[in-house]
Amino acid sequence: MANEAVEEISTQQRIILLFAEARDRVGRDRVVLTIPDAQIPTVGQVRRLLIEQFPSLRDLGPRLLAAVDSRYAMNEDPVPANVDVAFFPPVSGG
Amino acid sequence: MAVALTREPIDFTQLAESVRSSAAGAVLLFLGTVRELTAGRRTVALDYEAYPEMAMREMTQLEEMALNRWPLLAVSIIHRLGHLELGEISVAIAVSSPHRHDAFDAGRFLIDEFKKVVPIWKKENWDDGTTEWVHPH
Repeated sequence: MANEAVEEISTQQRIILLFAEARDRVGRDRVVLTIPDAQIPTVGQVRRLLIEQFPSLRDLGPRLLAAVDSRYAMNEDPVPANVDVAFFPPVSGG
Repeated sequence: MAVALTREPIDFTQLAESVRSSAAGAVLLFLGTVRELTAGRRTVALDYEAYPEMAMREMTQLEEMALNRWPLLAVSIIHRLGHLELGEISVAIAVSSPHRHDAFDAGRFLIDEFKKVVPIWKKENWDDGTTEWVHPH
């Protein structure tokens, strides 16, 4: 067998929940994002990937709030696997 | 002590009763209702949706904050989801305390903070037939 350099690309996935205007723009209440490396991504990285994959979110992007495991999260916070992740526009309940 | 989301009309009498007790000198009930006029535009109805798990967590945290900050006897919060007509009740908050000063302060705190943090969104149904999510800057 020839010596071949086998490039192994580690990827992982996150399910992102969407609400209100963000959900309407994308047309789905959840999407699957592929994270293109093995390290745990940050909220900011996931936000960028989400907008890349769904350009209809671009103008909403910076204003979208993020939640990891049902808690508000900042751009520098990690997004571990197997917890709920949500991006949503500013709230208006009450 | 209770927080809840519902798709049914809110029974605010029951909510007020749930916090009333002989230890309380005051019961404060706040109702948020669907208003017709907003900045010159006419609402026909509102649709409310939530991120339920997180909304419950945030409402519980608000209840705990209020209980820690004021000498309250009980707090109860309920928000309705779905399609609401004019005048209907979207949110109800009941608090009880020995003295009325604390009930007023806690009640104001709870609705003001609710509107900032709880992941619930309303969609305006305007009288021109258009709809619009409300997403404050």
